[in-house]
Amino acid sequence: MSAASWSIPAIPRAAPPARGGLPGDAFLVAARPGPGRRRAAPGRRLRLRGGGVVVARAGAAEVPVTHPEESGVVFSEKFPLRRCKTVQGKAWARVVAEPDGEGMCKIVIGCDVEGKWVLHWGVSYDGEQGREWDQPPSEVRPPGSVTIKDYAIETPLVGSPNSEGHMVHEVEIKFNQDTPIAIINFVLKEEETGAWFQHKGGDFRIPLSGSLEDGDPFGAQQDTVHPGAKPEGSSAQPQETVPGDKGPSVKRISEFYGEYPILKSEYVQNFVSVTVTENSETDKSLVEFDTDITGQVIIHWGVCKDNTMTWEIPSEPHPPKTKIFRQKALQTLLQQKTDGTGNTISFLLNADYSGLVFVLKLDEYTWLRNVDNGFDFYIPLKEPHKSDEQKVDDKSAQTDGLIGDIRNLVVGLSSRRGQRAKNKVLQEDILQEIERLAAEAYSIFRSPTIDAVEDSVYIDDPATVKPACSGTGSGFEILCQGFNWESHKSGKWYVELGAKAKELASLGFTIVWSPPPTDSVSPEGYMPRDLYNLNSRYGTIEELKQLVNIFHEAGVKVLGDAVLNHRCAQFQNQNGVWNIFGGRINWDDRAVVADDPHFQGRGNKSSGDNFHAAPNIDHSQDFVRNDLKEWLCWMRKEVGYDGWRLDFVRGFWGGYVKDYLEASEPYFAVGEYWDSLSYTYGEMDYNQDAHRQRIVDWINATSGTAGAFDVTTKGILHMALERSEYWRLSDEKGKPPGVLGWWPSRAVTFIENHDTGSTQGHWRFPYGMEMQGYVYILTHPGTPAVFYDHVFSHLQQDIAKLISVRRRLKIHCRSKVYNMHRK
Amino acid sequence: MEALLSTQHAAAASSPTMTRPLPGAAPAGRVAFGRARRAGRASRDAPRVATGLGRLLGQAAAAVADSKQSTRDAEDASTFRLFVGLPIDSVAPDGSSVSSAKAKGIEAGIRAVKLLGADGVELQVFWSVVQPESPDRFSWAGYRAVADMAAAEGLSLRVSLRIHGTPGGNVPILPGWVTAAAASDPDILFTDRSGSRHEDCVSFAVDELPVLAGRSPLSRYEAFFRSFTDAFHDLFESTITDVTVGLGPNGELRYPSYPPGSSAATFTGVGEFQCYDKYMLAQLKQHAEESGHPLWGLSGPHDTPGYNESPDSKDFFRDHGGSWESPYGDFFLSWYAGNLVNHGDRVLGMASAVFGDKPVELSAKVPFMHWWHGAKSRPAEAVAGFYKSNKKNGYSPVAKMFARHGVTMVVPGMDVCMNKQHRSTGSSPDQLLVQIKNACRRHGARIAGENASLVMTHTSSFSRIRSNILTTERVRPSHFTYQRMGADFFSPKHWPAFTEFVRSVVCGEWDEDDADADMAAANAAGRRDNAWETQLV
Repeated sequence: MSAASWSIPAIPRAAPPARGGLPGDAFLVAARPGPGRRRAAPGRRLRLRGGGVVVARAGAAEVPVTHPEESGVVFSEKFPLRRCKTVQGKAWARVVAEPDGEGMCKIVIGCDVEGKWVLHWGVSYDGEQGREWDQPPSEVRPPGSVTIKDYAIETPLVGSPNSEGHMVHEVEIKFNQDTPIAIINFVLKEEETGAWFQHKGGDFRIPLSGSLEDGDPFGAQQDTVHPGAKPEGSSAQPQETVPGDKGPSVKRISEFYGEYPILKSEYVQNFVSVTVTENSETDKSLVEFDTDITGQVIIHWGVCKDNTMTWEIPSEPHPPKTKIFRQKALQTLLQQKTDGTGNTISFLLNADYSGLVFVLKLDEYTWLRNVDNGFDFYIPLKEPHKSDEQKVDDKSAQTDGLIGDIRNLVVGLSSRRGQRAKNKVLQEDILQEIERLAAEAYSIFRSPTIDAVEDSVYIDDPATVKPACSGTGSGFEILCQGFNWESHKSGKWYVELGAKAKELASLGFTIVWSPPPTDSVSPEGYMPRDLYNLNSRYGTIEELKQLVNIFHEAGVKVLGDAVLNHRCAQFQNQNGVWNIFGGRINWDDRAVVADDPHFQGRGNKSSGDNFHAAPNIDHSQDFVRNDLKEWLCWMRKEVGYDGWRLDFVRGFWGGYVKDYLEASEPYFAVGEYWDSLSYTYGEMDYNQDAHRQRIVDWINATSGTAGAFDVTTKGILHMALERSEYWRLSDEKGKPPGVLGWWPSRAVTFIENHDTGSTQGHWRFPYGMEMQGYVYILTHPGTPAVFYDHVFSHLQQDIAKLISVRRRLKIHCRSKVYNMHRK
Repeated sequence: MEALLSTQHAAAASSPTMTRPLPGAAPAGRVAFGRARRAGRASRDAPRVATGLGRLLGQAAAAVADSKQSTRDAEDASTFRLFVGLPIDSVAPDGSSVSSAKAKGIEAGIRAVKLLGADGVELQVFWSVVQPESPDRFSWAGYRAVADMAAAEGLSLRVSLRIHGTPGGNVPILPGWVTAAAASDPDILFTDRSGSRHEDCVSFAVDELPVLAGRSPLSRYEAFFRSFTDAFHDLFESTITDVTVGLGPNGELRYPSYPPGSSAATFTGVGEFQCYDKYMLAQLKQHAEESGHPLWGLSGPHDTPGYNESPDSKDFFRDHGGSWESPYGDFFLSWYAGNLVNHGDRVLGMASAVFGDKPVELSAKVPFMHWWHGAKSRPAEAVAGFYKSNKKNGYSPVAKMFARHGVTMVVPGMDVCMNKQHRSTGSSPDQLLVQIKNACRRHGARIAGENASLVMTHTSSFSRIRSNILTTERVRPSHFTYQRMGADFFSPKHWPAFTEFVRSVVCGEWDEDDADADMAAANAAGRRDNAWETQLV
């Protein structure tokens, strides 16, 4: 069963089945009674209809038919059966580094379990952040691939017999040796059952070059989207081999082979029908069993008197091929039908029994019970008397069958001690019912208990508003992100944005966040090179100054996007590594952190996470900090920026940020601390305290001199809105669940930015839910940030209304939130 | 006999209560408890419908016992009852309905413990939930619905009437109108030396002062109790068997000696005296003047340690030469403890009047102050209000008062094991339990039990509970309430062990049964394995 522990077929975007989440064996009660916890009281719910006796079985698949006038049929019913078939097999992934005739490498992903398999996959490119998927480039998509949203494709696996004649399903993905793809991410889907096969609850991640451990930019990350998704770990991957050496900077495709066990289970529908015919001449009942299950089928049965459900062994003779099972039941092997379509048997029973109880046994490990109630099948053998019926009705009105069973058992115990052994089945039923109830209670109690939450904001007395500081601004700020991922393309964004300054001011924004201004390797500006060269793809330094002036005239503050974590070099060192900087800050490799092998830095180790696409700056050294402080102060003075939006602050200690902010004295500053929320088996956890704690810790390290984007709130809003899981909007203490709930004055709430949305779409807000998101952040404390794309869209009017409401009610970053639980 | 359940079978190997007795040396627990329960059950339940596994097996055993003509049973007819606590926030904060997310869970939980063989469930009824907005309106619908669930399953109900709050319990701590009264006069709340107020607890000093919307807290409590008896009058004959009167914070008769806002249940420091609201200070002053030591009444002792400090860190509680031993110390501690007993006396007197004609067992809870038990001054007990002059049993005055009202003393700590406690806090749960039992025996008060916390990590706590409630001592709990249902309670980490515990308690032992018990167990285990696979279908 070890294989089962990881290959629980998780269904993305749906709550895991209750039993899947229950570790240990205590609650593995799968055979659950039907809805409403109805336990059929066999033989109790009796009704007279049209003169004939109809034994109505709650929830039975077919209405039993009786033919009292024909052939004395007392009972006839076809019961559905359900059994689980488990197939064990393996899946594998193989990277073939040796190029084929056309110079293409390939990765083969396959599986040897029968089914209609589909590879659901995406890729991560070199140097990319996060574990989000990207769509693979079209040239690598195998034929028959289907696009799924904008981040994945699905490719069917093709079945073919292997050398040993077994059917295997495989798909080949071919790619160039110099492909920019770093990692292939995938899960397998079985179309017929709809089951998903994941790797330890996350994606399979197959690195194309080397292992993930040293090549993975996120190796140091504590929490990833899919915990444990990296295919490392010796115990789980006994067969994995990752050979291949790896040059420090030259990417090479490495051979890789990994094998993963797969356990597929599916339900099979069968039936068993039972017919009881009264034979008045012999005073016996003829009982017939018929099932469509092939192979060996045994009925494990007994008879009972007086509706007690007490198993007894009928008097002999027993049917052929019958064994007595531990003095309490009979096990009779059914006879194979000659046409091979199933099994059948019929035998005579003395008529003095009131009923027959049975379950089916296929082998030592497979017992089939009544799907309807999870217990035994009960077959009444004779027409009940009217008096019985009356009595029974009283009871069933009073309580359900189980209690009645127990009562009968007690009576049985006190009067007939000798029969105790026969009651064990019933007692186990009680225990199972107890376990089932406990499991039900557990599943209810452990889920969050918020029914419906309506947040309303309490307006502080303005006197309680604190003086402005760089972490909060005035406390009443409303931020607009003044660009998107495409803004660099026109080459004169500063001019274009300046033209919208009045409009933005009139909408009620108090701060605009302008794009990174420096000379940059990438056109968007996030790969800065010469920090003092402010001519960028967004415009010239003169246009930038003009833009700032225009906004200042409109009464709007301007944030500069400062990329402090990393900086691209202009020159190579003697080893050919790009780590010598140019321009006014002409650092060498001593300014680069030592723990990123790509850039051969000679500074100290990084105080945060590394951004792998460029040399990370070692902020621990005074000369670096002094130069950066000077630069920030220069920009404050030269450009007129009022504050900062700090890029990738995960990369260095927040205490240095404090240093920079104290030196540059911004009016407002906000840091981008973006890492993944907590997920369990692909399901976002309710409690995101760990995630927001990391952000709060960073803010704390800056001594509150900077705010931080409230990534937690964005993530929770995704789930809450997309799936109407509004209970997520209140944490265990009834507070907002994001950074907003813990340190509202430093939380800069947002629903989208140039990375998550725009044309990148790394983590797009649920489509069509944007206004609901804005309703949330604009009516809550914290400093809301609105994305450019939303301001200039059909949403503008609604956003304007919300901002005016916020301003009218004087909601500020420290307003209090009251959770109103509405019935 | 029916040792047919695999877990039970497994338990047989480890649990002493399951072993076959030596000839002539029957294990104490087995004889006294098992018989008592069986005999009691059998006679009491004869007309009742026996339900649940435990009842079923217990009765069967009773039949067996009867048939063996046991003579010792007749004298000991008192029955032991097992309750399970319902979630503390079962009811929506305004009392109007069952907490809707939990209703189904509560229902399933009630049924599960019923089938398991528990006698009843315990429901905490909060003043703050029943009268959330106004002193004149009572909102019973939610609690009524929960009580009806228990009634529908034929379970007994122990109702704990809670006046003071439980910080962190996800339940409003005090009714809004009481909080409002406290906002205008903060001194009606317990106050510590540094002036911090306990927002969950109204000072005992104002019991009889008209501080709550023109009436005294005591009369408000009485109105609450009376309203309860009216709203549930029809359940008193059938379902409600026990009423526990909340006398202070966390439902216990004690001062809130823990730091304001923290949880009384988890605090294990020395604590501080809570006598610094102006009403308490006035009473202290008056008492000092009457005793001829006016200077002693100006304030509380100045040399007491802080909440989490060691008792040795300041003079008052020092083992040798501490001021607690001085005439002043005795004066102050006696007054402080006496005030607590007087408060209990007032409320229990009122409760006895309210519930006097109802067929219920009245009980009230005391705290289990086992920390710093090793220090001579028993500082944790003293700041909670348990003190008797001349180093005598601090629980004694309380036990005496309980006995006077015929109220059962609920001792919440039957699970606390020595090994769970840090030695540095000088905890001694064993000695404390003996001390409490001695006090009760001397004054003739009955006791009942609760556990301090869910037994999650140390399953040995279950055997401790078992030995504490299945004892042959004269002071034996008349009922035990296991606290409390919730996610952890039903989690696979806890539930199986709890199931085993309950079965070992309610079913007594199987050992006297037929010779094929082992075989039956083996059969059961075998069949259980099969059943197991069936479940996987």
